[in-house]
Amino acid sequence: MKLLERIWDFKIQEKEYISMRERALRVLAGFLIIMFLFTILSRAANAMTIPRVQVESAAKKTIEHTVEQEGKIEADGEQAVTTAGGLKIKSVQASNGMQVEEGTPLLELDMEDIAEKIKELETELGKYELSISDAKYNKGLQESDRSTGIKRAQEDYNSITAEHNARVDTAKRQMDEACTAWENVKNNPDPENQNAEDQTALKAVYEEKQVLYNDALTARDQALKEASRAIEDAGKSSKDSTAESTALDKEAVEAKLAKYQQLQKHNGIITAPGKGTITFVDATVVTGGVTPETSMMLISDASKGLKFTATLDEDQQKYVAVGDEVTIVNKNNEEINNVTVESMAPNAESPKNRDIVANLGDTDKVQVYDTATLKVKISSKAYSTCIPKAALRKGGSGESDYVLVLTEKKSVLGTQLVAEKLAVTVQEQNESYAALADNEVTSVQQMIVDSDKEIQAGDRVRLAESNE
Amino acid sequence: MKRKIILIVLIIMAGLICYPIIFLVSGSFMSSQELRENLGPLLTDYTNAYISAGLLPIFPTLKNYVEILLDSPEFFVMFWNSVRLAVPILAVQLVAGVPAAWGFAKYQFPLKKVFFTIYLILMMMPFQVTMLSNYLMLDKLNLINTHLAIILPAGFSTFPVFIMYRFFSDIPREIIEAAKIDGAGAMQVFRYMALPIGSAGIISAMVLGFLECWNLIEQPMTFLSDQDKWPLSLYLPNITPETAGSAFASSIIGLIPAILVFLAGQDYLERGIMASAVKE
Repeated sequence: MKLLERIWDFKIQEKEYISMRERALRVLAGFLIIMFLFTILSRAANAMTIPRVQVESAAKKTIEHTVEQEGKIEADGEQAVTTAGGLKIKSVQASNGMQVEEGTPLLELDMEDIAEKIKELETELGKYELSISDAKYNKGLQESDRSTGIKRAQEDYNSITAEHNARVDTAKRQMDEACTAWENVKNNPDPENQNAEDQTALKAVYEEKQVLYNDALTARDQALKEASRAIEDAGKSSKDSTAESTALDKEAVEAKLAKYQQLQKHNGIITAPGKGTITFVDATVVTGGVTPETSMMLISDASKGLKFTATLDEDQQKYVAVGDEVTIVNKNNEEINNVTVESMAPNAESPKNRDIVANLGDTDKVQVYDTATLKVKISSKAYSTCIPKAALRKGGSGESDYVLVLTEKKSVLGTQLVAEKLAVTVQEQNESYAALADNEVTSVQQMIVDSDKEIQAGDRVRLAESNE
Repeated sequence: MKRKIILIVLIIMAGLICYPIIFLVSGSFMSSQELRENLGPLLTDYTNAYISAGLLPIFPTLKNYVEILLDSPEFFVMFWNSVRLAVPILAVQLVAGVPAAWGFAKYQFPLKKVFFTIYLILMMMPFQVTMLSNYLMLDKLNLINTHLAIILPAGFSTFPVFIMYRFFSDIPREIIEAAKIDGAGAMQVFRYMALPIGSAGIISAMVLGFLECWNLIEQPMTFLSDQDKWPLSLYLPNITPETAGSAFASSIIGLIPAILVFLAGQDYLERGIMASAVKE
């Protein structure tokens, strides 16, 4: 209430008279205060717009080229684990990347299945044996039939020969008798020429006998030819290798059986053939699965050592060559020194890159499948003018590279730092430093290596606090 | 009728005289585009085209003032340089000039006339005449490129002594003698009689002194080589169409202290100017 009363009773006090002089002086004071505030404001705005820069100077250095590339560790050799195919797997102990010693159980097969398979194979084997014996018996029979045939044909030949010889002899004798009778008549001619008719008749008989004799000879040749062919035919025999092929099948089954029996002997457990790391397990090798015909798994052969493989890009390739000794660093930052580069072959996917292989030999610091880093350090000659790479700026097309150096410039705001462009010639560079031609930049010149805003040549800058 | 004609003529003349100031104020609110159109023939292509100077901006903007007040720390460096020059100069004039004027006005000493004549001659000499000798002397004293090179010559300038001399001379001798009879010493007479009675002269001398040193151009240009020591009068010596707006705005801001000081000492100033017009 009191407050309301006071507000109600409030009267504007009469303005005291202020002379023009005093008013002008007050305004002047106010003006100076405002100017002071704007001074601070404009300076703050100016400070905010001027880029803060980090600077460094050139120094004498060697340019170190460091190649660092991550790669993986692989086995230098591998051995396959195989077994008879088609067996049920009871349990699998092995897994990808597992370290194994010789004799470490890898998987267990189903013993009942093995026993069943053995039984099946034994039955099969019995069948093969019977088949072989049958084949042998049949072959004997065939042989006996053939020799009998030959013998009979020979006998036929002999009898045909004798029969036809007798016929030929008879025909010859008859021909000779007819010839003799005709010649007798011919040589004792009858003066009355009474026997002329007999002579003609005898000659006809002789000629008839001669034809018969020739027929007998032809018939004999034909018969002998046929008989000899019959002998040849009887001597022919058909080839039969049923027994041999069955024996081969039997051998295969026997070998398979031997494997099964071996597995049975070892209670169905398959063990690692040597020390190493499992690098591959076939997808079918799972509990309840069936063993494949091909290799079930691959184990790195520790006895042959390990190798490091990585892919180097074009820049990195310059500093590594086959035969070089490099350093491999494992994931615990442990170094393996004096590792020799064995090969550098073009990468299959991008031929510009190269796959590098370095032989690690026998080492405990890395295992198969580990990742590791290849490190190579190559130092150049000492350059008198080396600058941080961050200070080097790319010139436009056709322009050389340049650096921005700090120069002091007097202005209304006092001595100010200005970024001045200085063209340079790069002799050699790595990721951190660039070597320039001698004395292009003096050791006292400060080059801008970093700034909180983009800067161009001629821009005003100020040093960042860490540089002051 | 005659009076009216005279009045019209006077108004026209006053308008002509005031026009630059009006255009300055108006130009400070113009955009750079408008200024380029108006001042283009003058500032860029030196053709025969005439500049046009509109009295009122078409699109008024405060951009020029914002640019000067927030974006130009250089302006403030020069502004405070001007203050830094003006205040010590006035202080030196006060400390050295007032006793000197009092001495000349009320004391008799040998060669007083000669000294006073030298004072008058020095006052009449333009800066260009004494520039070389000033420079050589300041160089000997290692004061070149320092504010003292401006402050010392201007502080010991003869002009305020002359103005204050006129005022002190007008103080009746009887008043001083009465004070002396009452037992006042020389210092007491100066402190309690001369300063209060001659205050109008002192103030008018100070106001004139301020206006003079606020607008110094030749001395800073001659004696100060570092731009960071330059006063506001040397701000933006090169005006381009782009900087014309801020040049106008800076001129307006630079004008304000001078106007305020003038208003503060207006009454005394007229008397001071009158005093300086009366010959010995």
